[in-house]
Formats: sequence, structure tokens, C-alpha cells
Amino acid sequence: MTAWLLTTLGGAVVAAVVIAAKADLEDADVYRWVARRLVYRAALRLPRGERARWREEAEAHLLDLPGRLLPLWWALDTYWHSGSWGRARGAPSRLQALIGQVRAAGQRLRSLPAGLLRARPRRYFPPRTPDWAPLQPLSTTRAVPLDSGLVDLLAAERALLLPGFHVARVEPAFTLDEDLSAATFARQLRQQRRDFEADLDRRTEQYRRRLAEELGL
Amino acid sequence: MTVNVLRVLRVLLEDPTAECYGLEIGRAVGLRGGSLYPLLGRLEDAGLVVSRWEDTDPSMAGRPRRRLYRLSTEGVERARVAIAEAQQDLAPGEQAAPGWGRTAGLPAPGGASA
Repeated sequence: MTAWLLTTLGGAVVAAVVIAAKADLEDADVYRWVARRLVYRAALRLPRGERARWREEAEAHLLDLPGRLLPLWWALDTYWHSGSWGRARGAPSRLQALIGQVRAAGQRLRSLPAGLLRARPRRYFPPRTPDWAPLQPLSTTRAVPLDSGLVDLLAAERALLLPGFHVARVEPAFTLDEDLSAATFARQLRQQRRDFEADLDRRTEQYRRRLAEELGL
Repeated sequence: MTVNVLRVLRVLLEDPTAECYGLEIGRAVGLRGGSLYPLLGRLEDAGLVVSRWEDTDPSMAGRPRRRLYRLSTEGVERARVAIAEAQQDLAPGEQAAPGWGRTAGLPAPGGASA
């Protein structure tokens, strides 16, 4: 009893959907649109030079066929036989076309500039030579032996962050056109560090003072 | 030649000078697009049939141009010969040729034997 009821209800629902879809299809004249699309797809399987001729001829036939289903049936038959038709006219099969597309993609990849192909691994592997160079004056040919205190000083300078304002050093850090010895170079670095800290203290004090004035303290 | 080719040739041979619309040929022969278009293309490639677009302006006519087919001079002769041979092969009492649905050596319909 339950199965009979479910079958009846299901059949009613399917019938309602089919009737509604049929009415919509007839209103929108979907049949002829589908037929034209099928003819278009069938023509794509032909050699390139013959597509327009056969497509125009087949579309003329579709318009001259009466009714809605007959053109669709005609177009379906045309599409169904279009593979063998195209191969008989010299067009490649789908498998041959796929193989040709894969080969063309390989040739395009091989024809890329050699530099572009070599540049790809660099994104994933760092260069062998580091970006930074040993710190040395340009006029000397030997590296400057930096003491650990100076290195700590430079590292602390880079890590220095203050809220509220930015610090920018405008003057050149080192005088590079002089023939500097290592000791002179280190001395200049320390002096510039002291000047920088003094400037920083001065600006910090100015900032605090201005802030106190603005707040009325 | 296949049966369908002979049918098309016979339709075109009814009036060799007249140009036939492709859909009319298909209706007369009983072929749909999937069989008709390759057949017409083969006949045209073989030089038996010539075709041309009709001389109408689609915008004025309100429909696409039609492709018209007719037998060529060579096609008329070859079609007559082919149809005559086919009729001779299919005549009662004659041995059926291979490829026409019968096997050589078997008695043809009509009671006659080879």
C-alpha cells in the first residue's frame, strides 16, 4: 500500500515537472536553439575551411523543416555523424586533436626564454652568495675586522624603535672617499653612533616637552 | 557505389539540368543530415555533382541561402552507367554481386541459381 502510494505521488510529481518543462520549452522555442547549437558543434568537427559552408547549409535546412522536433532530430543526426564526417573530410579526431594540443603546449614551454626558465628555481632556493657584503671601506681592499662591541652597537641601532615619531639619518653614514684604516673607521663609527644617540635624546626631549605643553602639564 | 549514393544519383538524374535543394534530395532519398551531408560532399569531391549558392539576398528573402546541387556532365554519364549496372545486378535471375547484401555463390531470390 505504501509502495503504491509513493509510486503514485512520485509519478504525479514527475508528470507535473515534465508538463511544466514542456510548456516552458515550447514558449522559449528551445528546440530550435538546441538544434542550431548542435549544428554549430557538428560544424566544429569539420576542417576549418568547410565549417561555414556546411553550417549555413544545415541551418537553412533546419529552418525549412516543419515542426519543433523534426529540426532537432535532424540536428541530432547531423551531430551524431559529425565525427566520422569530419574525419572523412580530413579533420583530426578528438584524440589526435588532444595529442596535438599537448604537443603544442610542450613546444610553447620549450620556446620560453632560457633566462626565464633558469630564474624559476631561484624563488625556492636562496642564492649561494649572500646579499650583504663584508663591511669595508670602498677605498681599501681588505675587510675591516670589526670588534664584537661594534657589531652589537650596530645591531642595537637597527633594533631601535620608538613610538610616536620616526628617526631618519640623512647624512651619509661613512665617508667612503678617504683612505681609512680600520681603527679610524671604527672610531668614526663610534663617533657617528654617539652623535646619533645625542640627536635621538634631543629629539626625544623635544617630543616630551611638546607633548607636555599640549597636555598642559 | 553504395545504395544511398545510387539513390541520390537517381534523384538528380531525373532532371540532370535542374538544380536540387539539399533538403529535397534528403527527403526524396530518405536521408537525414548526418548521412546526407557527407554523401553530397563525397559526390562533389569526386566531380559527379556541382553545387552553388542560390542567387538571393538572405536579408530580402528572410531566410538563409540554399545550396543547390546538380549533376555535372561527367556525373550524368557515370550515374547512368552506375544505375544501369546496379539494375542489372539486382535483376531477377542474375547473380548478385558481393556487397549488395548477398554472398556470392548463393542462389539469388527468384529461384534462379548461378
